[in-house]
Amino acid sequence: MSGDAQDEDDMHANDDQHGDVQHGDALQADADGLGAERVLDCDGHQIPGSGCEPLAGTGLLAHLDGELSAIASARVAEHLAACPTCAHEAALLGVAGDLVAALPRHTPGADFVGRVTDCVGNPDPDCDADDAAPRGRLLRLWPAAAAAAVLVVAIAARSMLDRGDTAGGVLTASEEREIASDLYVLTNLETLETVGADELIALVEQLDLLEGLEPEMSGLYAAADDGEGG
Amino acid sequence: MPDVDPETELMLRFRGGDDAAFTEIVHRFQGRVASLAYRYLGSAADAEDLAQEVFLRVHRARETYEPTAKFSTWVHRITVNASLNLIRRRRVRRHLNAAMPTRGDDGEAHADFEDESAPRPPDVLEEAELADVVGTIVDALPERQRTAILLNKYQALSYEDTASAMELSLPAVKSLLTRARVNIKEALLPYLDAGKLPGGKSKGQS
Repeated sequence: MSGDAQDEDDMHANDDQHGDVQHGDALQADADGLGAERVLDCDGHQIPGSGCEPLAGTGLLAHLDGELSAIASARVAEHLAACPTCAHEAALLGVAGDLVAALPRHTPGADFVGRVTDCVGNPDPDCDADDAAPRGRLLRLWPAAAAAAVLVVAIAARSMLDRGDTAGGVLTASEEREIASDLYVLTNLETLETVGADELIALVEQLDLLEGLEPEMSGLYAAADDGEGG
Repeated sequence: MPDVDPETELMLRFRGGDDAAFTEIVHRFQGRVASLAYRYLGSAADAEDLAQEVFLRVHRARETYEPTAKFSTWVHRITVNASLNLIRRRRVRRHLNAAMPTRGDDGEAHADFEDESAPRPPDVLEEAELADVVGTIVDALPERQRTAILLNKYQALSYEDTASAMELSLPAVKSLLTRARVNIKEALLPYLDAGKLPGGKSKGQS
């Protein structure tokens, strides 16, 4: 698992480890056997300035998830029994976890095991779940077209990235049409006339070009996602 | 075999030449692998195709498998990586498709990545609607938070096994899980606070 999006995760990870709410640290300390008194810091809503900060640390989650020792867990439970604010937070976090656990599942049909065992050692392309366009065909047939096609994709990607940067990461419809028209000129070159987007992608993947482009493109998608999710 | 869990032992039996052990592995893991893939891909057919690919990879690893980690965490890791790779390829393809003109359909090549609109809370959620809401919230998490919470809560892996499957340290996984859980809770607040969850699962009454 790698990717630029994880850098952001890592930054937050540091935040969490050092700046988690006081209860979380207190409970974590307790989980580590450092004593019960800090756990009780928020008992009676006595944390200065903040009332009883909701518990959001890994100690509380570990308690909810059954990942604490019996002794540490009992201490958290004791605190929760005495602190309505934390108990409310714990209930919400518990429901959140339960709902994820209860998401629908998919069980393959009765023929699935047979399908897999039939495919073992079978070179039949139907047994390859990779949904990329057939690999190799275009390179064998049209090496010149292939090289040109890769160039087209690289230009298109670069173009999208540049425009994405200036537009705050989100392409407008008119920008997309502009890129599309640029692409259309390039793809209308005689040798490329029959090359569709799927085949271009397959070529890029084949030549490992995607690896070079993807981090920047992922950034673009992430920016777009953030904009939509906000 | 010293001290390995039953599923790891199955893989070791397969490595040792027992073909029936492979069938048993597929049988035991098909639901877990297909379900996890389904959460990433959103399609039952795609999930089964990906699950098939995962098991073929397991089969290909027959000679080289070493039980350095639990077999089940290894299978989860393969499933997550294969799912994420497929999603990445599709994203790039979708973007290029959007940028390519539809032949004979001038100017109508639009991106389709804005389909997932934010869920709005109706008065009371049916179970299926609730699953959609929760699924959408989980999908919107940063990638590693999503993977961590899916492995831990949806697949019921322990913190340690989640860390192993993601090749991360235990503290890093705890941090991801905390943020994921808090993010999900925050996103669910409009539903939780309004008591809109069915089956009496409303906010904690304390």
